[in-house]
Amino acid sequence: MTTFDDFPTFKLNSLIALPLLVAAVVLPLLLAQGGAWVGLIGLLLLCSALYGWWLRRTFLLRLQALQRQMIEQRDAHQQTLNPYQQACMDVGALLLPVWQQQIESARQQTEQAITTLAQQFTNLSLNVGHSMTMSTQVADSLQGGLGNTFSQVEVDLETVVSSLKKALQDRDGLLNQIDGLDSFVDELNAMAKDVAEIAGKTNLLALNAAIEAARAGVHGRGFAVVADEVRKLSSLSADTGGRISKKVRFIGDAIRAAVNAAQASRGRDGAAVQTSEATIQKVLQQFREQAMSMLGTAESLRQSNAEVQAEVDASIVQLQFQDRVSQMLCHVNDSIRGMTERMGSGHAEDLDIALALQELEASYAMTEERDNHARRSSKPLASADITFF
Amino acid sequence: MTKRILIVDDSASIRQVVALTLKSAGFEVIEACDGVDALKKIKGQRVHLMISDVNMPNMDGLTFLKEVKLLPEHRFTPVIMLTTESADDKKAQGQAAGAKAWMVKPFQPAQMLAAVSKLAPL
Repeated sequence: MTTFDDFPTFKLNSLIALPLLVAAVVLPLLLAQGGAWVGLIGLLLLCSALYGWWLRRTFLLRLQALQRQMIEQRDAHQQTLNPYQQACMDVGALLLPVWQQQIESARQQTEQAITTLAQQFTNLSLNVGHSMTMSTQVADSLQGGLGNTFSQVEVDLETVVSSLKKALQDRDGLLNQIDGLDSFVDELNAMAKDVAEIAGKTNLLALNAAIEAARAGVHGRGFAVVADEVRKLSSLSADTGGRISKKVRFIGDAIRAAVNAAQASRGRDGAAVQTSEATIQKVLQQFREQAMSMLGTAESLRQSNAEVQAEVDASIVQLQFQDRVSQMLCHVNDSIRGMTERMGSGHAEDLDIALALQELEASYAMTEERDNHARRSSKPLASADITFF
Repeated sequence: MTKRILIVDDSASIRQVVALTLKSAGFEVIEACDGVDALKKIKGQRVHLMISDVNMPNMDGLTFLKEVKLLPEHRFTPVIMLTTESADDKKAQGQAAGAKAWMVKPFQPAQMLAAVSKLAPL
């Protein structure tokens, strides 16, 4: 390195010393030879030498002053530069590792929390899926089971009502047949009356025959016996006809009483069947409404579960941001680690920022990292881009 | 027969998300945290499809893919690269290494299942 002491001192000394030496040697010789003009020239040479010496001295003094000033300025500059360099080294040795540690700690905590969160969401999703399957099965069971049960119950109860109606119809038919017996009772009464009338006529005929037998005397005795027996038989026939008539009236009365009683109960039974049918339909309608309500609730539950499942699945997908954030933090952290090592050397030439930026850019895995590096606005994340090869 | 799928990713949360998506669709899942772990877990196993991240410690996804293609029992198994990398040169590297598809995170489950169904239909 060139110093101020090396500067043209040697040349200056030579330029001034040479005229002085010449003047000191030549001037006494010239004065000894006694030439006046020669003495004048020698004097001029001496004055020139003295002026040159004065100039050198002045120049050197100014040069030394300038040298001192520059040294002072250099010292002052070194005094300001050294603390900055020291601070830079402190940043590399002390601050950057702390940043690095904090970033790594935050990354690890985030990763751990998100992993736990993802696990919980996964379990939640599985539980919701299980619940949805159950509710779907219940809804399907209700829809199928209740539908079939109600259909079967309706068929069975309609069969019961139909049986009751058929029984009533059969009873009405029987009553009609019993009612028809009343005409036979009248016919029987008429026949009993005819029997009594025939018996009376036969009795009268037997009486006439007995009179005629008596008139015939001895020859009519046998005929009188026959006539008497016929009269007895006619009396018996008249009695039998009377009893038949009496029995027929009794039977007729019994039939009419039974028919009247049956007709009276027929109205009540018909009303009871109608009431039963209405009650059955009402109960079935109530059960149907309750079943539909249960089906509606089950369907709402299934839909709600499906919505929750979709929301949970969407949340799980959103948790993928952790992977991107973790990678970005890792890349920045690696760059900080590299810068820490560079700054630790204490040599300015090791602090190749362009190289550090180049290495950082080479580590990027995501478009937004490259956009951030280039200080461009990053596009919002789109859904998965798939390329098939 | 249930199809078996290998998931290789150093992010546990990503593995869980992918596993949930595939399990809910009826697939059987094997999980590995990097290429080395994956090579251990597929040894002697029948695997119908592999889904691998690219940037991973120990062994990255592209190296793992190249290693898989050297294994006689797995050389024809289709591989999907699932990564945050979207640069074309990386995709070209994946294609050259033998990947069948390149999917950029974040993914939608429906898209994932569509890609999986295309390469390993149930």
